[in-house]
Amino acid sequence: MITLTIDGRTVEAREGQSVLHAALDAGIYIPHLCDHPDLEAKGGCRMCSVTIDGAEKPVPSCATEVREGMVVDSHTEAAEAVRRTSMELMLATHPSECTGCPKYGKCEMQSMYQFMGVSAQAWRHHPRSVPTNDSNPLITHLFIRCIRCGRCIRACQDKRGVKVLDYVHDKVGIHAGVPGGKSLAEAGCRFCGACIEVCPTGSIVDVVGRMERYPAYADNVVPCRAECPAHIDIPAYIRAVREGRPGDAVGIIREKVPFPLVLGYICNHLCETGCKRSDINAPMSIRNLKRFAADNDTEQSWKEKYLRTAPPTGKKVAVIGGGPCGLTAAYYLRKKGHDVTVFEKRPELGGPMTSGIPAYRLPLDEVRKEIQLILDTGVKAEVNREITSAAELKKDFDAVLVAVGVSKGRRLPLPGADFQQVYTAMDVLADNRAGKDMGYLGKSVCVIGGGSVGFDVARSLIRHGMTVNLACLEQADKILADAEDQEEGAEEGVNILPGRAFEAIEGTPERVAGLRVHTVLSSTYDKATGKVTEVAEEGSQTVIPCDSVVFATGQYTGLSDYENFGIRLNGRGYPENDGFKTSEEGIFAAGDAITGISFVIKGIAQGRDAASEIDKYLGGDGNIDETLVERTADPYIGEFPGFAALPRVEQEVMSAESRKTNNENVYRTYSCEEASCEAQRCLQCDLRLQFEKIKLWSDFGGVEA
Amino acid sequence: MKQCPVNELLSYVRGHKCLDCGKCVFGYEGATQILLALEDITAKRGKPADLEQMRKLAQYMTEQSLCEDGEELGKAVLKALDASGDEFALHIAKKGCTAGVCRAFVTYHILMDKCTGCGDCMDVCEEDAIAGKKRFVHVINQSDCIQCGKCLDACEEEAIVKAGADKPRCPPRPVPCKRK
Ligand SMILES: Cc1cc2nc3c(=O)[nH]c(=O)nc-3n(C[C@H](O)[C@H](O)[C@H](O)COP(=O)(O)OP(=O)(O)OC[C@H]3O[C@@H](n4cnc5c(N)ncnc54)[C@H](O)[C@@H]3O)c2cc1C
Ligand code: SF4
Ligand code: SF4
Ligand code: SF4
Ligand code: SF4
Ligand code: SF4
Ligand code: FES
Repeated sequence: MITLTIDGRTVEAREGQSVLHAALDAGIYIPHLCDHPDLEAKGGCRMCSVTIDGAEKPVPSCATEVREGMVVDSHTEAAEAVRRTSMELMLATHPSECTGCPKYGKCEMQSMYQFMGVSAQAWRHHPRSVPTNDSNPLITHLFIRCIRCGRCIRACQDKRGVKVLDYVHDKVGIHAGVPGGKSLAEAGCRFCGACIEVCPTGSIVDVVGRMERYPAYADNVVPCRAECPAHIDIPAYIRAVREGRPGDAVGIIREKVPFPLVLGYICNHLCETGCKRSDINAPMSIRNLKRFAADNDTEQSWKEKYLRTAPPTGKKVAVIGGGPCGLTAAYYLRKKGHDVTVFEKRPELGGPMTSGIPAYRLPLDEVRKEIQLILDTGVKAEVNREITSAAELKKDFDAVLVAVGVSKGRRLPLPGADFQQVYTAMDVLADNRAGKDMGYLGKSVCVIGGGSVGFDVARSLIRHGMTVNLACLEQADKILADAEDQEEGAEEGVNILPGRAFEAIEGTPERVAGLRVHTVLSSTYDKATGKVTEVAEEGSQTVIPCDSVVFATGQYTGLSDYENFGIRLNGRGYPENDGFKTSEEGIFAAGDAITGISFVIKGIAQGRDAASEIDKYLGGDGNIDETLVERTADPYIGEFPGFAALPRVEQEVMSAESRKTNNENVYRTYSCEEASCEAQRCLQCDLRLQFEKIKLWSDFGGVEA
Repeated sequence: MKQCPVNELLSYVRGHKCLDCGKCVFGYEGATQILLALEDITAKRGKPADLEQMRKLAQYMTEQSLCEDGEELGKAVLKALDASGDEFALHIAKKGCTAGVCRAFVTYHILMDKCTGCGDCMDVCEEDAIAGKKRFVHVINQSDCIQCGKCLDACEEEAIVKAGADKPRCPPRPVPCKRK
């Protein structure tokens, strides 16, 4: 430790520290502009001028090391004069108006000149009008505002090692930029955003709108993580994959979700819609990397911590429904020390993960392993237990969570909908998943409904050698299932019949003969009334012959089917809720049971949030965050020519011919090489958050100008 | 040819390394301001405060530049101001350039005792800035003259001259020639 005096105060500093940072650390504000706490000091701006030991000539405090007994004064007339002159000189070549600048209100330069109360009036105004460059993805260059502090250059060259930015000389003068008139991509930029982060002016900024998507700054910087409903630390796990640590990747994922593998196979990957790489070429394949990690996690290094639970609280929680939401909530509540029992009406836990989603999309054994880990924490489960009253159950528990999903299939009110060979998708898929003989459907099946559930049914039945027609009201370009499902289903032989309206199921109650439909040219759905208006094609009525019909036309909670479930339900049979609280004290509801059919990750996110809420209700702190894997991230990412163009690596798809005859996963998981190639594409948007936030004078409170 | 110290300093600053570097405020922005000031001064647009401001800035440049180049430039400015302060003042006061180098201060004149009234100068002047007729001494209208110098080359009698601070006496309007 070194002791010195700064502005009349005795200050302790580290050996080798600069006078500037010794002052800032001690809460003494000295203006500074070219210095950045994470970059090597150069001393070019002289905003940080101070007088040392009464010497006549002020020196830059950022480039002066502390010395024992040193006496520093930042307010001498000489130091202030240098500082003011420097600021005036910078302003003299800067655009004269801050209004309209993207950095307005957040700008270090603006904050500083306002603090100092200086203007460039005394000097010749000479803006160097470099045209704005908004042709690059993600980053906009407005070098008319560059003050040549060199921070971006030092960040790009020394901190990142990418070496794209440098001083550039053009007709109007010198500014930071990409030499040779190259685009950022051509120059090998890795779009890490370090330059944006350190620029003290509005000279290098995020493209318009990028930083206004979420209220939190960090979310805007790392949008994949913000978009993920459970906020999995995506850049961190991608980094672990790239560095050959799939186990750590899984640990990082498990900090937020107990089903990495399930998600790796079937997540609807909202994160990818947020991924910044979309603006360059295509988003990161975040989901497939998750699958790779889960498929290759042999060491399970996270396990010990993952299974660790807090001391018993003596509180009992019942969870109704063993789907992703219920199981997630059960896991986190158990971790908080509560005694948790899951009640599941089916013979197996998992919801659609074990009783709906077909094997060719999600392997059953793997799901079971993930569920087993939850039970390993001491969560109790009672299967084949259908709960008909939450209020009854509440009598034996301190809290109850209703996570029953939407497990009952809906039928359209068609004549013949109650015939014997007419089924709902939920039942057919459950039988299919359970490995039952599907012969009862006959040889030819009509599936009604073009959502992903409809395609799950159709594609599963194709694998049983059946002839499958899938008909839906939507026109071909409006089919609800995603494009992959449609394409792959068609390849496998599903006959897709879009734009059909359903009239009746033909035949007798014992023997379905066919499905009568007509073609619609267009249809509109009125959300308010729920009514569909259609324009039918004249003379288009036909009967599609079939042995059975499967309705894949939506699901409902089934709670209104019970005599008295014990909580208030709304008109559509969903629990009334405020947050996760139902009408009854101590009874909570979450997941599809309150949102309607959504996605596994949403169910998980709801389960987490509900667990936190319930823990608070039971007297806990509600904090379910945990670090299973310590993070390290090397900011020196280095040069990588051609980085921007790296193509998205897709998983290999099995041929349609072989797919049709087995239940194996349609996609082959990445090889190690493919995974690291894909992982390398990540912009590592999170690295930008490592930079220390610059403190403005206003952060020091009460410093006089 | 005589040298103008103001113009000399301008050329020196224009070619100085600091303007190609940009790594420090006092070097780069200092050089820029000195350059702008000198450009104005040599173009008859100098301001009374320029001298003192240049001196102060140059002093800062010697002390607060990041490398010797900026220091050297500051010193060069100070030296020129010390050595030729009067000439700078003359320029700033818009009185003229003694050496007749700074274009804005230079004027063209037709000497009464040399002009034969041939009219060759009038023919080449694209600005119609010359008045006269055969056998009359021609006269340049200073407010129209753009100092292009074409008349100077056109006159075979060497009757046309450039002038700096000291102007020759010439008639205000054409008068009959004395010389045959
Ligand atoms: C066929 C199908 C395919 C899907 N494919 C995907 C996909 O590819 N990707 C994706 O992200 N999402 C998919 N989903 C949606 C996803 O499965 C659900 O959004 C998610 O499971 C919702 O979780 P949850 O826990 O809220 O409800 P559920 O998972 O539905 O769990 C509710 C559980 O409660 C049980 N239950 C119901 N009533 C009672 C009762 N009274 N007593 C006891 N237990 C009861 C049910 O049997 C069920 O196990 C699919 C859904 C289906 C049906
Ligand atoms: S960069 Fe800062 S100082 Fe410059 S115009 Fe923008 S807000 Fe104003
Ligand atoms: S590599 Fe990073 S610091 Fe360098 S220019 Fe690109 S985004 Fe900026
Ligand atoms: S772009 Fe920003 S960080 Fe880079 S030199 Fe200019 S002002 Fe400094
Ligand atoms: S590039 Fe990487 S860190 Fe950035 S948004 Fe995409 S996945 Fe996330
Ligand atoms: S003084 Fe040195 S560092 Fe500063 S602008 Fe001149 S040459 Fe560059
Ligand atoms: S902050 Fe010290 S010289 Fe710029």
